[in-house]
Amino acid sequence: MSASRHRLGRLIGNAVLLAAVATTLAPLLWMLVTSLRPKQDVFDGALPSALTFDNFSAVLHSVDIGRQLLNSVIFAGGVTLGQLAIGIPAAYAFSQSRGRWSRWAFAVLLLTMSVPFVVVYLPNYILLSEVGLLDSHAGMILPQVASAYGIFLLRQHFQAFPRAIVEAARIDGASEWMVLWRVVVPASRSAISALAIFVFISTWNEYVWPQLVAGAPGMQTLSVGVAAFASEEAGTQWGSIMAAATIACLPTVAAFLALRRQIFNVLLEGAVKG
Amino acid sequence: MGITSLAACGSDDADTSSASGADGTPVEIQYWHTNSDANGRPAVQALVRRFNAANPGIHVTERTYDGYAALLENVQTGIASRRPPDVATVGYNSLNYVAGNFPVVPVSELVERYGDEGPLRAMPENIAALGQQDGRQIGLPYGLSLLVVFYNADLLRRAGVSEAPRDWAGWEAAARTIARSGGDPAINFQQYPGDNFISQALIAGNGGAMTQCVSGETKAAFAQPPAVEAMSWWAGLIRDRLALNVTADQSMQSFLAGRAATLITSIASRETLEQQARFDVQAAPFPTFGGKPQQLPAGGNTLMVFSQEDAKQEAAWKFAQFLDSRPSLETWVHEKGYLSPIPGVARDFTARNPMQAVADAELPAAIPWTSWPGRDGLAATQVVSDATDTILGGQKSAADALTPAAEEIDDTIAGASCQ
Amino acid sequence: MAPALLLFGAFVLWPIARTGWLSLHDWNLVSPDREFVGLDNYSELLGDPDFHRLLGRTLMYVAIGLVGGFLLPVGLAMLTLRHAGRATGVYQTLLFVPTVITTAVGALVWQFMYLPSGGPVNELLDTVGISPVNWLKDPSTALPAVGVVGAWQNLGFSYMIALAGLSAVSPTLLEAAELDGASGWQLLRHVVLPLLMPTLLFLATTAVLHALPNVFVAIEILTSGGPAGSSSNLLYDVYSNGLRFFRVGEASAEAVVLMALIGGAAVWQMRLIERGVTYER
Repeated sequence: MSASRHRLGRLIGNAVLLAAVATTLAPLLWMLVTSLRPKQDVFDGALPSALTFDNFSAVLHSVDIGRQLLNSVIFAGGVTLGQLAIGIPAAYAFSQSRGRWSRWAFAVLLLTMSVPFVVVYLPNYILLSEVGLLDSHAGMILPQVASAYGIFLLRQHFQAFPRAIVEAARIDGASEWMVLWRVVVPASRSAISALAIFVFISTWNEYVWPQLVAGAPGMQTLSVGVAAFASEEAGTQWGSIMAAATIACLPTVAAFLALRRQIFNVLLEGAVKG
Repeated sequence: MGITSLAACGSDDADTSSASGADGTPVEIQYWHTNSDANGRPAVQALVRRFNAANPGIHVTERTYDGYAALLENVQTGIASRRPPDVATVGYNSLNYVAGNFPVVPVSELVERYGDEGPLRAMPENIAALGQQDGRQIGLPYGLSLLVVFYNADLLRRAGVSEAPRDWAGWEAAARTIARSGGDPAINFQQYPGDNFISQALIAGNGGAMTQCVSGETKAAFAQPPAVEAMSWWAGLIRDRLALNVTADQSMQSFLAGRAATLITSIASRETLEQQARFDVQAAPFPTFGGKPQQLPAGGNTLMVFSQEDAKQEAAWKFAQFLDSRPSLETWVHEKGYLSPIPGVARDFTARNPMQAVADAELPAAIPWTSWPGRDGLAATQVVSDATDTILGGQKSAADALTPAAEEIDDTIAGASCQ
Repeated sequence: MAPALLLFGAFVLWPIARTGWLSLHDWNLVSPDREFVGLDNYSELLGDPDFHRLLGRTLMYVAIGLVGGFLLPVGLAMLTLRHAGRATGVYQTLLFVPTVITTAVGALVWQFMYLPSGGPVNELLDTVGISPVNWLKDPSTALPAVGVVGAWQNLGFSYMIALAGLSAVSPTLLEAAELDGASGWQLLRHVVLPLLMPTLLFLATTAVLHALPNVFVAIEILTSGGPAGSSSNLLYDVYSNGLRFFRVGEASAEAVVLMALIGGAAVWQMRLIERGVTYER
């Protein structure tokens, strides 16, 4: 292959990639620009005539963003910690045991993984209200902790862990619990933190569930707040909505940008191996 | 407890309350509504504070939902798990469904039990009727809005249309003029998914109806000639590129972007439009078909009481009356941009807002927004909406789409009685 | 493991069982008379042409999910590894951004993108001479338009996995495969593909299983399943039938059918994965 052909390939390849990036980011740029425009400018072509923070201050005045932010942190943080606390031991148990029942249990688990949450959220809603957990953080968090996805990913990872090391630790007299927390978990820190970040971000962005079980004043998460803000009977205030949307996106995007190296490294070394 | 409070509230005195829990703690009641932080909720919160302060024996907490569908969803699951709201704003278009399927305490019963007609006395007959099923008062008409034509006066002027038309023929002609000069389709209805607000307004305006009562049984009437004619006409406008057929948000965007000459929607949008439009927004009454009388489905909601315990029920009724009382409406109508179910409220406000006055003048034409009875009542609404979609999209003619839809609905609501 | 089992029992298995039980009833969630109707809900569903159409639309969404969550990210990842060089990290980061954005926000933004007149999508088409499309109101375009939003939001995730998996194969190996014609094909088939198998299978599985959940919020915000149901799918219909129209029995029966379909697909794919993984070793 000649160098010029190679250069052409490189050009085309990068052009396609740039086009993909542009398509991907265009809607978000529009969101940002709209949020910074004067109200009457919203539909005025691509470039704003002036920039203003009016929309942001309007949002901050009419919506209790601080409270919603706190709710989102509690919700996403709670689900993440819960999934790890439940998922790590369960995944380890599944990775170690070869018994018939555990294979069955794992198969059932995998099947439930494919059941979309929407299917069970009506019965779950009724269950929560029966035990009085509606409009509570616990009620938002608990059902979401029961996620098979994390167990599945971690089990794959733990299985790849060298058995010799585990055996050696056992021979040294370590209990299973100690093997897990002193040997396996520290060695899998990267995979676990990758999972944690993912769970956190996807929970943060959840909309249907928190809207259903925590619609009370003071309990709304950011994503619910933004959507509520947008579906106005009185019509859509695009500037404020996009300001609210930008505020809702800021923490996750910032966290992602700050931690992207770790996230990607972890995925590059971990996820696919499993 | 129930007996003492009953006695105390038998009097007409609305400002004192003896209602309180057996051990002296206040009666806790919940008010569920659909007003958001940006639109109306602050006013709701102010009213709740005012009520709680004036009624130490009662404590109201409010809770908001993202739209009527979400609210109904939560009322339904709330009832299923035995934690229903005490007072909730139920959209007019699910009145019959809720009356038939939910354990709502009808207003007529509350009046009988607690002896006060309250705001109902002050309401015009056609407005009170918005909360009735077969002549029985189920809910207390509260939120109230009607369709108007918001228009871009600058755009009309540029196109040579000096005055907003009054009837559909006039608007159609204006739309043609605008189209000829290369403008966007001018007639722009804001249609929310799965509701038939616009269809009903056109059908009723053309002398038709969504339902009729045939020997004591509710039947679909929207496949009859006046209805078919109205819907065909609408589809024709879209086909001729005189009307837009877009989602609700998109219709507002098209108007605000200065492209579509009109936005035909509820008066509740007035403030939003005023704030975001960079052109001269004005409002005209919803057009008529020739000399046929104006008939407009009323948007908004009734206050419904769901409490089963005596103490809560009484407190709930008291709160509902408070919300619908003249002083509360003064605050509310102004903040929310709604119309008042009681005449003479917020006169200054209406006087200052010519657009609001246009909608206010339409009130005598308000008719109940159709709500289908029976277990499949809500699904029936969707059947009509789906038929409308296929007509407007040009997939089927009005007659071909409406006839099977009417049959399907007659099947599913079979036996629903009416008067 | 006990707490895991307890939580799963309470919030996953029990609700699933309850769904199965409810599917044998005619009930609206509040009425005290819950009528047992046996398999009526199922036979009604299976005989209903609307339901058949719904299944067709469900498959369409799965197809779009496979394009957006498998073909496209794998293609882009290949391009990246071959040509991007040091820019790889930048592409990776930028393409990932929509994934960390609230789904509700993403859908709201696209509402504007799809404006029939003045919307960026149609403006762009206009520059190449294509007349405006009424994306969300035309029954033939509503489904793909909604599908694109779901794909847009999830592309970054699949792309990252694809990139990670594909980088397991050294560029020289790929180049060799590209250069050598016939023997290159052999190389691709017997060396490269087996190396990539676990990644590809993982991506395909995820794409299929997430196809419906990924578009759920977009449907709700953009079309509510319309016009005339043309952008709905089985998962969305479970929701609207159950929680909007309160036809709990029918919705539960649909949910059971959906779970059976997904469960079947999952089992089948798990087999493939097991095989793929052993192949690798």
